[in-house]
Amino acid sequence: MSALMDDSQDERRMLADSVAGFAGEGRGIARARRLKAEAAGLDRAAWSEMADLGWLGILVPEAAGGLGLGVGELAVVAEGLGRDCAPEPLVDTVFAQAVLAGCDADHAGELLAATASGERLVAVAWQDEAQARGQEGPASVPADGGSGRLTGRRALVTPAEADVFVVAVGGPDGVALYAIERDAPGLSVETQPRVDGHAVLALTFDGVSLDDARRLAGVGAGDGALTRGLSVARVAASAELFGLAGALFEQTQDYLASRKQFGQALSSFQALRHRAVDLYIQRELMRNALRQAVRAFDSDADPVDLQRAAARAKARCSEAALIIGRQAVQLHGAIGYTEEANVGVYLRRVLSLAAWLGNADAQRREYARLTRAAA
Amino acid sequence: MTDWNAMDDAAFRCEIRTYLEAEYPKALRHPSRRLRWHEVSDWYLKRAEAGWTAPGWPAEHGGVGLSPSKQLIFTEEQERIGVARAPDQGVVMVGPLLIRYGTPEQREKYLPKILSWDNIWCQGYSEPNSGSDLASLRTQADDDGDHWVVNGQKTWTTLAQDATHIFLLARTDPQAERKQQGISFLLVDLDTPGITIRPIENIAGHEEFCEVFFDNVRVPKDNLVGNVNEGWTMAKALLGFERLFLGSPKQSQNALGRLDAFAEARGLHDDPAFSAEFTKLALDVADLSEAFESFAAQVRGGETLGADISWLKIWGTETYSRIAELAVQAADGEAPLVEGQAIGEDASVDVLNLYFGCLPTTIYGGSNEIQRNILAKQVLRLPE
Repeated sequence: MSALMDDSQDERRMLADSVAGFAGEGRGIARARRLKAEAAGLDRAAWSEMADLGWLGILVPEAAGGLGLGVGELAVVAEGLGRDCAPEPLVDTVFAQAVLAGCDADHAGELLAATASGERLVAVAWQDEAQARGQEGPASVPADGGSGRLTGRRALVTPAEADVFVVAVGGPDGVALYAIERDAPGLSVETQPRVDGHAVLALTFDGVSLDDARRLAGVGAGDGALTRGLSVARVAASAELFGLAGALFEQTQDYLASRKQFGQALSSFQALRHRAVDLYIQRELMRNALRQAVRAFDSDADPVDLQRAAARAKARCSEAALIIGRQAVQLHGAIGYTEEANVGVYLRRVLSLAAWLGNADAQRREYARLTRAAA
Repeated sequence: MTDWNAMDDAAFRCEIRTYLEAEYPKALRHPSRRLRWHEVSDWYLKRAEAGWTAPGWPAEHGGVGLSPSKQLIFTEEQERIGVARAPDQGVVMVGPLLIRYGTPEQREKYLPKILSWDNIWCQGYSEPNSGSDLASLRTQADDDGDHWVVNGQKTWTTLAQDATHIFLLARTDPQAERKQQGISFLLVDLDTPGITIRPIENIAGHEEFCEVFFDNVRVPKDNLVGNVNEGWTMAKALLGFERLFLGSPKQSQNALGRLDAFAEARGLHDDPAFSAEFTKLALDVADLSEAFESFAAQVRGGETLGADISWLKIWGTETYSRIAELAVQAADGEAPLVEGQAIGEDASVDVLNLYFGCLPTTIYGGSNEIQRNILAKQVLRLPE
């Protein structure tokens, strides 16, 4: 099933089995439908079940109550959840955890442990609206002006249920990170619905105090933590996209084989057979892009190589998943355009994740920038 | 004698690389067209003297007996330095065919002359009306006692003008129920009366392949390989790990490198539209290379490649094509200049060379449409 394992990796195989067991028969997509229809927000029961299985602490050190595993194991879980169209914000949480893991303040560790147990939800607020549109790197997050107070906005923040925000605050020498509670004085939170049924947050900071008690990491450590967090999260999102696209492809393959028109299976028409092959190739490309990214983390490559590997995976997986999702609808015909068909639910999740932390175009720009800088 | 297979992979690679770097003529590296035998014979005859014509053949038949994994390294290193291909059908096809299905007399007669390059073989498969649908071939071999009498025409026969022999698929039972049945494998000396070879000029102006006509050509019965009417099965069984190299990233990597040099010289990387397309292609090549390595690892592990290898050929050749197409666009008004595009004092790129280079790749070795048919049927198992 997975791109991410060879036979020697029993741990990953067991995890994959465990995710498949959790997914069961369409449980994830049922939650995704409910999330969209009822705007009910995070399914706390499913979330705590995931916490009990250890997945919320997959990257978190054992000392902080996690499993202390690597990005390869994370990708196996994310892929499995994607296959099931599970809507839970695992990748968003992993983003926050990977950032927190690079922070040096004591309360970063406490926060990390609280996310692993599922007790608290943390979101990274790292970009303002202009950056969210242009997908600039974190280094140019605007300065707070040295006032010790933060005024400004942060956009596209997830998960919407977060009780704490890890806020990136830029200065001339780089980014520092602060933990700011959702109910902090001076912070107002707006929600914007997203197509998969989740919401994203727009945060407005109006003179919010950046005191030492809130500081997670100073300039230097902050940049490193945010950069690594982005790389990890992009690989996790790529893996979930790989799972979503894999399921979309297989559903389409089955549909082509079983649906009859003109007295014959759709799959008997060469135009459709060839298109199915082109989608298969897209999925194989995702597998390969993801494999190289996991290998980069497995081999503990240096941060720039990790950034490049993650950008490459996210570019491929975002683009290919959208191609497969779009064609899955087309090849299902009119039924594919309905809420009743599963492909639409998957496609809405693909649209959300493909755009998250930089879409294919943005990731290719990032890749080009890093490649040029390295040359 | 050195036991190459016992050597560790890195040491073996290093040995081959060092040898090629030192010995392989610079002027023949990465040729822009398929070279003729007289242009590459010095190199290959020298290798023959050293016993290195056929790295993959078993030692008992005069080969080096390299394991699949060592063969792969050997081929990768040759591709890396851009070794020009010989008219190698004897080594690649006829030798393995005879080793597996030939009689002791056939092996004794032909194998040493393949190894010494005294015999140069070409492949008689395609016909004017049998390209992708190869099994519909009509070249006929009629039983005339101790001879087969061959009539018909082969085409796209690469370097037939340099060959001394041709191995061909001919129909020996026109009444067979299925078109794949009733086809046999024949070995034919090109000096036999009744054979005419006519080179075909290709779109780039080079004569790399030929038409070969057979007019009552008498072929001794001893020249039948394997059983009569089983040629198709044997031909399929011969598709070995060479299939991997139809999807090699080398052509794409080389084309991307040329385009990069051109873009660098002309400042195109500063153009966001060009840069976006270029980066996309660079990632297409990167993912192609990753996939190639993954299939290569299967070969190294001694696995047989499955039908899924076809996607690598599609992706590799179509990526190469997209790069060549972007190069033609990037060269703008200078694109049709046959002497190429200057990128400095005494350097140039040749976008037409890339463009004409990519055109046959999506056709040969089973056109990409045929590869899609194979994938749909054998990998996706879509009902027909």
